[in-house]
Amino acid sequence: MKKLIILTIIILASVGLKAQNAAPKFTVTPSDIDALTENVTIVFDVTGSAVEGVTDIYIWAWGEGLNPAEMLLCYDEGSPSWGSISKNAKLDPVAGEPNKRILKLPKTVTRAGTTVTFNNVAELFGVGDTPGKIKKFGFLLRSQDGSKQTPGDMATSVTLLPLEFEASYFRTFPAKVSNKDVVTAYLNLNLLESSEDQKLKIAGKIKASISLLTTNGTKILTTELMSTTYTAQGEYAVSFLPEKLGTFPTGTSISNVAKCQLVFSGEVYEQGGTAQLVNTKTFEFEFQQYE
Amino acid sequence: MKKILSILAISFLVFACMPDEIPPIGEKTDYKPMLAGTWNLVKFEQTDADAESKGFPAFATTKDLTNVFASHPYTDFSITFNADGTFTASKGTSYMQMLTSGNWLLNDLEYPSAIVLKNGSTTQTVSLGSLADVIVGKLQLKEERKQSDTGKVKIKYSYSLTKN
Repeated sequence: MKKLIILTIIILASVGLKAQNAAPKFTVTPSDIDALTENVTIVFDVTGSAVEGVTDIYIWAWGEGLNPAEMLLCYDEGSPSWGSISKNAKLDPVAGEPNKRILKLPKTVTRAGTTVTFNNVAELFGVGDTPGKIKKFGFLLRSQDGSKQTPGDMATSVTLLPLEFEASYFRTFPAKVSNKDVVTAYLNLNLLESSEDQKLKIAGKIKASISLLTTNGTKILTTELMSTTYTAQGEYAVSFLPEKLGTFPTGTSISNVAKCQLVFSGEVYEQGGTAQLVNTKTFEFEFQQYE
Repeated sequence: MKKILSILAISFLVFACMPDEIPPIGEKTDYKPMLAGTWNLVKFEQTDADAESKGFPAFATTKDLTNVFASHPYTDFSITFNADGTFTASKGTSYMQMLTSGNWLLNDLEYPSAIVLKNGSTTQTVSLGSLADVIVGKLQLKEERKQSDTGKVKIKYSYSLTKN
């Protein structure tokens, strides 16, 4: 009985800790941006996060693969330092919304004694002349002294649309698509990720299973093992029109579909001649709102 | 006499410099009767507008969707514009997303740039490609998908049709 009580306390404590350290919600406008997109607005909702109730909330952001990685708003000169974040990184309040903060571009600040205007994400990370270098950035929200912070490790991140075409393990065409458009998903096994089952490299008969989901992640319908075609670029492709993917359950329709998940599968023959099915990870993308 | 000659010379120069009247260049083209008839879809393409603006390679910019669904080819689609202003469209097995019947009109009779299809309260406007090709029995229709919050064109669809 004592063990059971202790176990319950531990579980409740861990759930409680997790709830206190929830990642902030955020909205990027326009919904899809590249490194050079201007007039970008990011609204953060800190409800339930570690910085809820903090008056002055700062953003600490870093660009994947950059050196230095930190956003220029985070430090005034020299090198970025967690212990002395610049006042430029303080997010603006949203009138009438105590749990919301906003970061709006263009943003004009004084940096190292000079007035600087950041017009886009590339300029925010100091790569305005080489914008192709930034493809994704992560961020956390924190108090000025850093004693309170939301989760790091890319728990909250923004992926930018590519400025140049780069072959990738998975992509869709069009890159951003609504649920009323024809979608083609591509898998490039020549770029198989190290975390994947390496047997996929020798797999044949590649097929795709596609699921349509609601905003909260509930699966509406799944179509299993659709045939793929092999393209001149060495990719496996599957095309579909979400509305025609299958029969929608009663009470649901294409208007309920917000996300899509795909898993590719291939057959690998073992020494005895029996076929083994190997799967990729689940790829997920969100549908856009187009008119 | 010298004065008369001078006046004559000036008058000659003034009248010589007046612009000629522009002669008529032919009747205005009435495109409506030229569009009347049945048009069959021969090609259906999808373009990623962002990829196009960034100069991505062709395979990452435009995709030919004509036969992308083997059992539902877009070539099954045809549309008939009747001279009385009505239209009927036959989707066949294709997944074409177009009104199937109603009325059609040009957005501008003299300089049309779009065909407006109407069925009750539903309206579908499809842009026209080059009208010069209509004379030789070719028609290009275009549609665009725009981002709701910015109005930016994100996806373009192009339908190439030939007349029966």
